[in-house]
Amino acid sequence: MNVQQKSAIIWRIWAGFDAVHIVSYMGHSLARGNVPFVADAYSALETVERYGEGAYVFVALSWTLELSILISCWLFWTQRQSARWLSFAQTPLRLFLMVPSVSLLTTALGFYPSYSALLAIGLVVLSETLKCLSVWWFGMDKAQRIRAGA
Amino acid sequence: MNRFIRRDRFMFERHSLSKVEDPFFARSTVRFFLYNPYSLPGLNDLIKECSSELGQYQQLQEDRIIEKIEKRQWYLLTERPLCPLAGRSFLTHRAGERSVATQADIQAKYEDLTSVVKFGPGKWQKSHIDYHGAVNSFFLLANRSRSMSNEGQVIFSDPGGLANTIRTFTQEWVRLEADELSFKLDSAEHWYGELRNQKQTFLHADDHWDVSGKSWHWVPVIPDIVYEYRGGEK
Repeated sequence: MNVQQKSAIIWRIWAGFDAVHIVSYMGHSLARGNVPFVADAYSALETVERYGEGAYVFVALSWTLELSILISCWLFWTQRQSARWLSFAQTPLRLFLMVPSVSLLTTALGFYPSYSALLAIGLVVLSETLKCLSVWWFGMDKAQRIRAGA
Repeated sequence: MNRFIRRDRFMFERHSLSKVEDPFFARSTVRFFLYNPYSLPGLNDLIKECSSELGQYQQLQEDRIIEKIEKRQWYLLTERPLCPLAGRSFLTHRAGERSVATQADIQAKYEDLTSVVKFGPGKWQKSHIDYHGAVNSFFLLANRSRSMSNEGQVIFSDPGGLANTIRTFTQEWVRLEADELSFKLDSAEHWYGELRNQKQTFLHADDHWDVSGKSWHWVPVIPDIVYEYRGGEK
């Protein structure tokens, strides 16, 4: 398997994780009897009303990340190079909002209700490190890889 | 030490209204010192000001001096005023005086003073709110690390994600509006523009209006406008 094929697989894996995040969210939302995104948009407005203008920043960050996951899912699946830069841009948001790129982690943690906060933070950091390194490495073209000593 | 000072030279930051004698008592001091004006600093300047307007007619001068004091164009500063301008006394009528001040008199006095005074009755009005971004980020991270497995919601669409965050609610002491002047007699007094800060925490706490008896709100609850009464807030 050559590097291009490996890159394609890595890209598809991250697209898959993004898709799992979206599907999981929509499934849980529907299970609660809500219309995905619409119900949360109303709830977010209510939260802002209760909390005050200080919530705008946090709510905006959250929705920006959700929107960017939809886009990155599509970019990774279609093997676009821009997916690499978008995933780098997502990293600070994912770390701050604790949304791991390995989206199965959130589901897995659900099986251990008494998990520690430090463990959760550690797993998110590990997940983002793994994603950044893999996307950085497999996002390089052949010349770049040679310069990097591969 | 007693002295007279012209109103335009009166500095509210330096002089206190609690040291300004009520014109009713100030005029008896004037009469006492009128023939020995150098004993009371500032009185000679007041006499000179009246002389330049009226010439040397002494009786007219005295009337003019009293008029200027009653119109509060000149203030008598004294260490122990009998009836200082600051406080309730300048708004209410003097007990020893036979005539009764009308509401219009009190209103006129109030407006006259509040137009220049930077200290007096008022209300606490919302000025600004400081959301402590750095500290709150830590709380959000802590909240989120505990609720990570709670899927099916966009983050922060639920107020619980913002639990325990803090903010500083700042209020400013401002003058009462025209339709609030009924509060002025009982109002506490502060410097206009004075700020006060109160820290609040966002909690799912007891309330008196929600059906469940609990709701997400800032604790303690602070209204945008607070009327502070003498001896306690309302």
